[in-house]
Amino acid sequence: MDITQIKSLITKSRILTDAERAYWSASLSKMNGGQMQRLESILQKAEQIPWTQHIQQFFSIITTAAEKVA
Amino acid sequence: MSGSNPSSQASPNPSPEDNDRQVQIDTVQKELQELKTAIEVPEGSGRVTAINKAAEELSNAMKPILSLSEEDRNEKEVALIKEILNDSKVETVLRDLIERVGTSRTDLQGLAAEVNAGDLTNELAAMEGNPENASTSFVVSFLANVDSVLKKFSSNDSLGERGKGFAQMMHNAMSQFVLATLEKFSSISFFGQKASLLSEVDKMALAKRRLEEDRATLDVYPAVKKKYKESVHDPLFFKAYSAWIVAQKVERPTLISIVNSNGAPSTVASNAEAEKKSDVFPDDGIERIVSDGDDIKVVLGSLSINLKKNDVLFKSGDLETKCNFVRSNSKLSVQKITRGVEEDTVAGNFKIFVDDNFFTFDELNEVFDKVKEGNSRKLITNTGIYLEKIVTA
Repeated sequence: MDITQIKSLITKSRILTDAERAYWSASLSKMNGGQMQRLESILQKAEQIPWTQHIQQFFSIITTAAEKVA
Repeated sequence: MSGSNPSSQASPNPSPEDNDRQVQIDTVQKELQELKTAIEVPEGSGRVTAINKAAEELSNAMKPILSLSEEDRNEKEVALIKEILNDSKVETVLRDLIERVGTSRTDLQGLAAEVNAGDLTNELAAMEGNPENASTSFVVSFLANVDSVLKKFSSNDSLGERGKGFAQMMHNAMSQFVLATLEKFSSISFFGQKASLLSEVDKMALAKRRLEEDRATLDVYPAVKKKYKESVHDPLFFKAYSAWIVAQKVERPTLISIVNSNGAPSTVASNAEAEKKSDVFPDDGIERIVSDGDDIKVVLGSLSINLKKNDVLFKSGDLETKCNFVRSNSKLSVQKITRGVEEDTVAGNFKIFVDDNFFTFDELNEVFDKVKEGNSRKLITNTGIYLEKIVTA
């Protein structure tokens, strides 16, 4: 199991908040091989989602605008 | 948010800034129109690739909007957003992204629950509102539509009376699927905050609907049903039940198990909280109480936290809030990053709400590191930073 690779995925993940990155980094030492494999698989799959900063910001604007539209 | 903007009014002599801004909005509108025409979202194997491509193009098209200042977001921008939202192809792309992010985050929650005891998200436990008054809410109207479709489907059941047969079975399965999808939708968070994609009213409506569905399972357990009928009159029951629904537990307890755990909703929440704490705070012989220690004051930027003997004072700019501690395993927690301070009455803990536009995670982390030096310890979990002031026995 390449922990460096998982740490890199955690750091780069666009679907995690800073707090969640810290949480998963801290949790690695408690995880068994199977759990690490699942984490790696989930984050690799998420990496394929074009969840860019602009899209995230756009959602933030939508939320604000939607309140006005409603 | 500015309530007025010169460019949104009939100004005979617009300033150069107004002109620039108008050009910027016009450019965005033009690019979006071109993009909307170009987006193709085929069904089948090419769908994900097409959506990814459209999302990237959409992301590029958004850049000019994002460069507008907050003050400039007036009704023209709202109209623009409204126009975008009304376009089904763009909406398809956005919703697809949300669903995929939501699925990944749900998978992560499942893994987190396995690695550490899953946290019951209490932040929505105190939600209020009356879904009966929200005829325009997304969930209410969506469920009404689903009901209408399923009712027709069910009435066409040629295999037997309503309530039995294949069509009814499909009705039930579809209904469960719809609820599960909506529940997953409500769990998505952006920038560490719960997305406002579902309003509080929506969430209440969702919880109410789930309760209705689950209640049917009690018919085969007369004793449990009797107990449920007794406890459901407790005003806290629905509130706690709602918290369970929106908390998105991977192993959500059944209504039967909730009723059987003495029925009282506060007990349900407390049990879950105790379970979480027993894992987060191991039985290491340290007595954890928030009292009898020296005051600790930490100031960083415009945020100050003052831990006193029996209360805590939070001050941020003009915002000043004093809270009394509830001595329930004595934990101070930061669970949601937004402005304000609220008392979590269900769990008996405190949630500090700080605007993450004001304070980054690193800044808050630094605050808690300083507090930690004062005989406390800091724990980072998937829901945020937990602080605990420790006094050894």
